[in-house]
Amino acid sequence: MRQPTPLSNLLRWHRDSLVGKRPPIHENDPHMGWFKVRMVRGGPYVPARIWIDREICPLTGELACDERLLCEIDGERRDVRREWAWLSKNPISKAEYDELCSLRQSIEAMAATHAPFNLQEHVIRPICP
Amino acid sequence: MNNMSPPPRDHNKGPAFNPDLVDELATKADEVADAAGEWKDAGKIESNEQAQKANDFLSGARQLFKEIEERRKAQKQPFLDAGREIDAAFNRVKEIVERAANLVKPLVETFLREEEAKEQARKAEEERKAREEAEAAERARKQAEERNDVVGQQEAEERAEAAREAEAEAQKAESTKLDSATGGGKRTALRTRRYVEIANVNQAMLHYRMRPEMTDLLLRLANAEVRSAKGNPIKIPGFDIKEERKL
Repeated sequence: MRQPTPLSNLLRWHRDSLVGKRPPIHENDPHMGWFKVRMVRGGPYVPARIWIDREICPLTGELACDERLLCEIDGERRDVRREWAWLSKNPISKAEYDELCSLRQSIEAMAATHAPFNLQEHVIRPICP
Repeated sequence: MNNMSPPPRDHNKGPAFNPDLVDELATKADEVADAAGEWKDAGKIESNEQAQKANDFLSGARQLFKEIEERRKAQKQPFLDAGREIDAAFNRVKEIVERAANLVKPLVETFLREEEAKEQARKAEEERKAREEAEAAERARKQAEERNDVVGQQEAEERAEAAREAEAEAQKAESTKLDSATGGGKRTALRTRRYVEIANVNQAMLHYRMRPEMTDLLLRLANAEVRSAKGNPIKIPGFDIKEERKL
């Protein structure tokens, strides 16, 4: 009988980071949350997330299988342990993650993740088209 | 009436800068201005996400500003270099003439000062003689008056009048003039140039305290001192040190 880990526990590291508490970062100990990274120096930010993959029995509320963390960067699945070291440097709020996703849809040039993003060429407006 | 004179030789030269480059930058600047209008219309920034976007807008504007400035300097540099080259060529020749004149000027100044000193001595002597003559005329007039010598009195009064005129003439200040030898040069003379040295710095500063240049200078000195304190506590007499948080 295994109870699913409460969401508040899963997000504790992320929450503590956002308020500036600087929780420890261990290489083999990734945590759930939302992040932003650059693929190249000066490049546009790309959204990343680590979430929990689990199956909960609807009848008992218990775990049907092991919980595991999954990772996605710019919509692509990645190895969470390999990526954790650099994702952990830039946690962002869910709202910022959503805004970043929205911005990437409205500014085409942000799709070029491996080239520096030129703010002179892409003037940022309050409401992007 | 038609103007029959031809236009100046290089009137079709065009501007001194690359107009296509300026147009390109102007287009970018217009877009920034347009976006700024939208930011202003959007009003107060209420969320961190919006603030980040506005920050990106400012970064882009700064980068464009820097690029415009770099392009401006690059366009201007050849002209600055040419100006320096022209100045160097002409100034070298000017300096030769200036040095030559400065070799001879002191000789003429010394001569004129000596002549002036001689003239002043001569006038002082004339003034003294005129004063003595006036005193002698006055004594003669009194003596003639005592003798009831009308003619004698009149002569004495005429002598006194002449002596007064001679004294007035001797008191007139005239600078010694130096004429041209050939007629081709200008007449010249020593000029009095007045200049100052600071005798009391406190009084001097009080005297000029209401001048805007004094305010500007004081602010400049104090601001430089505050900056060099690099955030450490500092007191400067006569100044309130304020703080504001700015981008």
